[in-house]
Amino acid sequence: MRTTKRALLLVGSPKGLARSLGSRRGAVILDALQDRGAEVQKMHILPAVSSAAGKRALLDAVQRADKILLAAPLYVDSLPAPVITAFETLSESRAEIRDDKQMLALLNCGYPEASQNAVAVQICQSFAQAMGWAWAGGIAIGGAGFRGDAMQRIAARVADALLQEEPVPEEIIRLAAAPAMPTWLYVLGGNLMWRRQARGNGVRRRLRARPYVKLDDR
Amino acid sequence: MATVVVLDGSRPAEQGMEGICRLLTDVLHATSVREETLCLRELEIAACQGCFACWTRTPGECVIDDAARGVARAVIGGDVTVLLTPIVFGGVSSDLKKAVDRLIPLYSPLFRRVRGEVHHRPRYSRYPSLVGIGVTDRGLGTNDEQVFRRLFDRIAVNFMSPSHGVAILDAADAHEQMAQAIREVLAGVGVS
Repeated sequence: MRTTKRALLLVGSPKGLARSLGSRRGAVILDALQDRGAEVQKMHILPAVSSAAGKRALLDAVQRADKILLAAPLYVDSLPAPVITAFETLSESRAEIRDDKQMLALLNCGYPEASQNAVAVQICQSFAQAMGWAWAGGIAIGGAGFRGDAMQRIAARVADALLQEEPVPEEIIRLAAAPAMPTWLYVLGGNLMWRRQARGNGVRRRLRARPYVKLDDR
Repeated sequence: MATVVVLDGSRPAEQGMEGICRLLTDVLHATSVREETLCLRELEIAACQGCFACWTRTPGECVIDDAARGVARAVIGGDVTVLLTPIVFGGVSSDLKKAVDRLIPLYSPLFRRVRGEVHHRPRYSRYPSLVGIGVTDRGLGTNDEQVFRRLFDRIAVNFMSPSHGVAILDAADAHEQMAQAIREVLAGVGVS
């Protein structure tokens, strides 16, 4: 009987394994799992769901894993479309996937309030239930991130919980949701960032452009 | 004449969805609106890349030149957007979500506070009302149904919809029962 646990990090950001913030945070948790003896694997969802071969590879990777970690950004109050495609694909093949798995969602949004991820977390939980997997919890992170070196602490506690087949402690979920800066500062900094990026692209004066303005002014 | 834009997010070969889409169209034809239905699974729409170029490089328009541009143009030009979808784990189908994710050029990247939360600012002076029609084959009253309703409450805030409503249809229901639920939710946003 195999005793080594296998963890799979599914990265839902279209930006990919290297550029996605969620991927980097998920990798810290994978490292903590690896330090505790688990075998780990990462997979980028967008290319996986874009071909039949990729979907087969996704199914095989999920089948092999004991722990499924999904790291994804919030897109319009829910998961990015490729993540939903992955859920649909896995759900359609549910009969060939073992149900002795545990799933954790690690979601981040571009708004400072981590609570804006709540519906997406519920969608992940519903998917886990439909697959017959144990739900380890949803770690929701706001756009302002969390305080100081919280990621290492979060990763260690999450890895411990997963390897003990337990849900992530509420204290860790609260820690991840605590913003690193006040909302007013996030809004100020965010708006400066968008304007600076537009200026860098030579479109600062067009930031409020209305390319479909004729329709707008009917 | 008001325009209702229907984004049909039903998946290929989905039991009953085609009939429900036809039913929705029939209900709309019996009202005084102009109806435009976009069958999303028949359109080439790439997934949003998350590059934000639609905000900071080509403001207001996605850099991917595919059918999603036409969807965004239709949505902002309409008075009501209807999102028709099977309920997928409390959310919407991947085909619908692909199109919805690509609507963010209709909004400004700049932030503002709305009801105690941070959201984006409008780009246009007016936005369409929003109707979500979710179809389930698991019976009514499930947790997924509650999640679906909460999802649309939130989307309506982000999409700056002046009014919104949700109808949940049980795929096993009689067509007349479904038609009545559709009429009611449309009436809630002023379509009758």
